Amino acid sequence: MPVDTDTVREMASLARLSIPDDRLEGVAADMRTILDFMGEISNWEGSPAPAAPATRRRTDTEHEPDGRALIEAAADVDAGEVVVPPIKGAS
Amino acid sequence: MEAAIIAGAVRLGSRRALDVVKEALDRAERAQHLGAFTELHPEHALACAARIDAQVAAGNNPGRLAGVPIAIKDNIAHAGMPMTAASRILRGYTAPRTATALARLEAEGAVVIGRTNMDEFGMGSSGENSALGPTLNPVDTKHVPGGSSSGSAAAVAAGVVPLALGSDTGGSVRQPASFCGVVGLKPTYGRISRSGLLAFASSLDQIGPMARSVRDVAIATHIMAGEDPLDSTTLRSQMGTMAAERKPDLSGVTIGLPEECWKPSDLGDVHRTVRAAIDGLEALGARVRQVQIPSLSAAIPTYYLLTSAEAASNLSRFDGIRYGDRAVSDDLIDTYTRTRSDGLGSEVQRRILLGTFALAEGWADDLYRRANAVRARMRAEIDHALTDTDALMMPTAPTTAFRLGEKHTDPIQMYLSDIFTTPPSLTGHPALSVPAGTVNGLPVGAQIVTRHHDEPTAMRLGMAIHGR
Repeated sequence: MPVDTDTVREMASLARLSIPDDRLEGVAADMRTILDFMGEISNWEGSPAPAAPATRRRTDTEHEPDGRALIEAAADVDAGEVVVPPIKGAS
Repeated sequence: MEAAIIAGAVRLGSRRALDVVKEALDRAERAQHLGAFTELHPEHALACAARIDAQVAAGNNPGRLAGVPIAIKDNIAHAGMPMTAASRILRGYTAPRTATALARLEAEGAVVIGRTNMDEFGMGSSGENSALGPTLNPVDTKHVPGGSSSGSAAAVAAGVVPLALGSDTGGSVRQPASFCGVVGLKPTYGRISRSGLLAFASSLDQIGPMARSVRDVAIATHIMAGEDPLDSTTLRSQMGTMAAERKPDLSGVTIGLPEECWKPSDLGDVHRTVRAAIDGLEALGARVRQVQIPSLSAAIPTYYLLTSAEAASNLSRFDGIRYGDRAVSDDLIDTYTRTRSDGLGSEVQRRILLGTFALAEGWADDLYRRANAVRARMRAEIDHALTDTDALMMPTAPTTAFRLGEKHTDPIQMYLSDIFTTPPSLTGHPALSVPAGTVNGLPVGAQIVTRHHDEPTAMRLGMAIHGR
């Protein structure tokens, strides 16, 4: 893959990361190695896949969700603020 | 001791939850050298245990996990407790609510004693990528415990707790379970709510239990499973049950061995150990046949392209504005950039860069979209292989636990540790890792992959191999 220091600088800028100049070439080499390895995926273009069979379900049964338990587990709200337990060590 | 036995003793009043939890906290203190915990919560745990003892004394049912001390990975929210995902960028962040899966365990009496170490944001296969330092393998501390749920696996293997929660995006429950000699399950995608789990790659992430027995993993999964209005990807169907048989009659069960995972050139001690476990299943009546799943050979590139792309998007929220640490600057973009560059570790930054590249104009078609097509093909191929087999089996990892530092500087070698665990993560199939034996004193895990929704078959086979 054509990854050079300019590519790394551009990707880092998009990702809001800062790579020091003295590390740019090392990161570029690293990305080239990994992307070349990942490039194996291009060998799979156009390969036919078998038709997916319908998913077989076995012993599963429909059920109603336990709404009460969920509500009990939810945090309390007081005047529009979520109430959480005291934070350990907080003053 | 198993969680099921502890809970039974507490419910009957023959053991006090307070004593059980105190003992677990003592064990955690004594095991500090392993680096398994990011934080212990003794006050919280002892207060919960006292409440459970009060429930028992009052004649009330304290739940199926009454008084069972558990540990949770540091990317699972627990109201009022810190949550860092082992990253500097989340230093000082406190979870405002409890993850649904954990709330369900607590409602059944489980007691959280602490949070466990991990590879930062779940990105790693060795437990070495943590801002808090590496976790050591309790079986041999010169070796890694696997990752990313390194601390949860180590805490269970060291006997600190009988049950722990991890999260699995590409093997992060199963591979450390294999390296540490414990049981770990990645359930069917959607079986357990992801609400309250810090997102790495949302289309693959799943919370999974780790324990010393298949039975404890089954109990925890049953409790955590089910629909959750806070996670629209959860399944509406209920998980089936299984008989807890040590030597089940497996006549009528067919096990498929994917040729891609059993190449003659790869057959070493790890494969031979797993094959011996499969021989044991054959002795109980199971039939074994070869199957072909050609796309498995593309699993690692597919997995790393898709998860890096999802991570680049998911982790963009960590910019110092809403969560954790913030670098001070007068300029907003500079605040984002300095916060992220200072706060995120090198492996996380590497994957964000790769994901950004995979999604960039000009490359997205060649990389991201093609990876999605391979993923769909892999799912169809695995479904196809499971139409006339009940389970697929292979080693959980190609090697036993490697030495600390051995692969840390070679990302490709590290990524290849996940070669057998990534396919079920990509396709959503359930997969269980159970201890199958040892090689040179280090544990070997066997992986059992079954049809979507069919965790009980994986557990039935797992119990036949592991014996509990």
